[in-house]
Amino acid sequence: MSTRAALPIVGQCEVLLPDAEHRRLSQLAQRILKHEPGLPLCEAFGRGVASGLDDGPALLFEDHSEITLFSCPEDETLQYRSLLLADDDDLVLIRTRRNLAFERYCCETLALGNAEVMVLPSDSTRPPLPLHGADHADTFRTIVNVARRQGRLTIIPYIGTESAWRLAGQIAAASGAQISMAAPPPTLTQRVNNKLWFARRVTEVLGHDARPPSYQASGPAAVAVRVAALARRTDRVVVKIPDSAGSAGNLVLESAAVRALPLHELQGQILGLLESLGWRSHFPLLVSVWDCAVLSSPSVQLWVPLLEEGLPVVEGLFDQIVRGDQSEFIGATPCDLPPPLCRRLATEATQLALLFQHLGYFGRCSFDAIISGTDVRSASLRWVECNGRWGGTSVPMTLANRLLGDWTRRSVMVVQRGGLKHRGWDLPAALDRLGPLVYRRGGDGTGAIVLTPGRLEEGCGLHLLLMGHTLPDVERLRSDVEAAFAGTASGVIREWRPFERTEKSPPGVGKFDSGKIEHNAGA
Amino acid sequence: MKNNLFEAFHADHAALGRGFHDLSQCLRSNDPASAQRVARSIDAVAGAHIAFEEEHFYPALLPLLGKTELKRMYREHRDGLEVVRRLLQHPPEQALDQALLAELLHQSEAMESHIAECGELFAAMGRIPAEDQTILHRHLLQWRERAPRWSDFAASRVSARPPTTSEP
Repeated sequence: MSTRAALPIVGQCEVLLPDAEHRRLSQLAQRILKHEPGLPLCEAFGRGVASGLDDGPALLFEDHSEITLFSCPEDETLQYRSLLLADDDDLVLIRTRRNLAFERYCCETLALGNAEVMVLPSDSTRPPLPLHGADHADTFRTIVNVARRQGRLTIIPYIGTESAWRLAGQIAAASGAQISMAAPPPTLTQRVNNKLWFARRVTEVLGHDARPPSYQASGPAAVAVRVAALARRTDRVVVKIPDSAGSAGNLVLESAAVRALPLHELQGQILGLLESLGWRSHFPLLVSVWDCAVLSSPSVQLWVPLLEEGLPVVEGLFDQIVRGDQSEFIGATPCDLPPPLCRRLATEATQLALLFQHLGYFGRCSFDAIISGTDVRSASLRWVECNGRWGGTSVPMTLANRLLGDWTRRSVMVVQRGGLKHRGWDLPAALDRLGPLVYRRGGDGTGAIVLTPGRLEEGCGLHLLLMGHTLPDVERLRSDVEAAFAGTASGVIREWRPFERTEKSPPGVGKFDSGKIEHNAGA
Repeated sequence: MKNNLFEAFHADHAALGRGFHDLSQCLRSNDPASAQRVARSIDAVAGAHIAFEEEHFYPALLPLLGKTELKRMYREHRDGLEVVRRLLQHPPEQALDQALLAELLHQSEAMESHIAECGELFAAMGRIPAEDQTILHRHLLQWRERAPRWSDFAASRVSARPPTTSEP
C-alpha cells in the first residue's frame, strides 16, 4: 500500500467480509457508476494527475471555503493542522496570520520535520485557497519548482474539491511532474460528503434501519410536510443542509412546537430559521428524526487505499464529544463501547468504505454513527454522516500514530473547544505555563500537544491532543492543563470549571458538560 | 384503493420525472433534435397527470399549504410547459443559441425539482381519508382515459375560465 512516513496508516482491527459481500458491493458500485459515470473521473485535470500517495515531497493545505456554512474566521486557525501531517521538504500552504512560534514548536518540540510554510496574502474576494495558490505567482512558482525538481509531488488537501484538483492539474501542466492527489476524485468527494447521497448508500449497503428515518425535501412545501409528518411520531426533527459539514447546517426542531403550527406557517418559520443559519435557498434538504436518547456518537476512522492495494483500513473508533442542540464537535476519546458493538461499527463502516473504494475513492474517510436507546447493549446503531475528508479526529489520530507508532499505545483525548472567553496566551507563554505537562519527542509519549495555536492565543478556546498512560492519567492531564490556564486568569476567566462527564451517561459514553462551560464562559 | 391511488400517481409522476430528466440531458449535450423529440413526448403523455394535479390534488392541498405556496406550484407547471412549447416551436434544423439553451436547461431543471417536491408532498399525505382517496383515484383514471396533451389541457383551462377561479 502506498504510504509516507509522515502519514502512517495503522490498522486497528481486521474486518473480513465474505466473498459474496465483496461481489455484492462491487455490483452495487457498478450500478451506481452506470447511473453516474463521472464519479471516479479525474482525467479532466490532465494525464499527470491521479489519486494516490507517495513518499516524495508533498503540498498540504486545509481550506473550508467551499464547504457550505463551514467557513468562518475561527476556522482559519485550523489551517495550521496541515503542518501536523507534513514532513521535511514538504510545503504547507496557509492563508492566515503566520505563527513562527507554532512552526518552531512543530519542528523542535514535536520533531515533525522542517516543512516550508507559504502564506498567501489576504484577498478580499476570498477565492478557494488552492485557486488562490495557483494564481499567486511566487507561491505557484515555488510549488512547481519542487515538483519539477523531484519529478513528482503528492498533494494532501483537507478535502478533494474541484479547486484542489484544478491546482493539481495546473502544477502537473507547468512542471511535467506526476501529481498524486491524496483524495478521491472531486465529484465523488462531493457526493460522499452529501448527507442525502450518503443516506441512500447506507440504505443500499446496510438496509433501511441502518439510518434514522429521513427524507429528501425538494422544495419549501415538501420540507414543511415532511417535518410535520415526522413531528407526529418523534420528539425532535432535524432539517439538514446536505452539503454542509458537521453540525453547521443542522436545524433541530422541537416536535411539540411543530405540531402547534399550521403547515404554511411552519414552512415560513423553517425557511426563516434556515436562512438565519446562512442557507441560500438551495434544495433539496434532508428531513430526519433527531435521536434524543443518544448514548454515544461514535466515529469510525478509515484509510481507503486504491482498490488494487488492499481493503479499507479501520484505524480507530472514537466517541465524538458533542455539545448543544446542533451537536457541535468539541473533542473525541477512544470508543469504549462493548466489543460486539465496536465490531459491528468496524464491519459496517468497512462495508460502506468498500463500496466507496469500488466507486474510485482514495484517502481519508470517516463515518459518524448514533447509538441510541435506553441501554447500550440493546441500543440501535444508525449511520448519519460521512466525512470524505480529514477532520477533528483523524488529524490528531494520525499525529499520534506518527509520534507513537500506534496511537493505541497511549490513552488519548482530543479537545477542540471554541467559543470560550479566557486570557489570550501566546504559544511560548502557554508552553512555559504548562511546563512538564507538555509532550516532548523523546519522552515517555505522554503530555499535552497543542494542535493549533489560534484559539489559545486569541483567548477563545483550546485545541489539544492529550496523551497519557491510562485514561485516568489523561483525565488528570486535562484537569491540570485547564487549571494551569484558568488559575492565572487575570480577571478574564472568572471561573473555568473542568470538563466533566455527565452523570447520566453510562461509563465510557459520557459527554462533556457543555452547559457549565458555556455558562462560565459568559460569566 | 389507497395503494391504487398511490401507485397510479407515482407511475405517472415517474414518467413525467423521467421525461424532464431526459430533456435536461438533451439540453446539456446541446442536442435540439432529441430535445424536441422528448418535449413532444412529454406534451403527449403528461397532460393527464398535470390535469389531475391542477384540478384535484392541488386544491386538496390548499387548506394545508396556503395560497402562496400553491400559486408557486401552478406557476412552476406553467414554466415547465413553456420549455416544452418553446422547443416544439423551434425550427428543428436550427441550433439553439447558448443563451436560449441555458435558459431552457435552467427551466427544465427547475421542473425536475418541482416534480420531486410534488412527489414528496403526495407521499407525505398519508392521511387522506379513504373515501377521498377513492374519489381522487376515480378522477385520476378519468384523466388518464381522456389523455389530453399537456398544451391542450393548459389552453382549455385558460379558455374555459380565468385561472384565478381554481388557482389560489
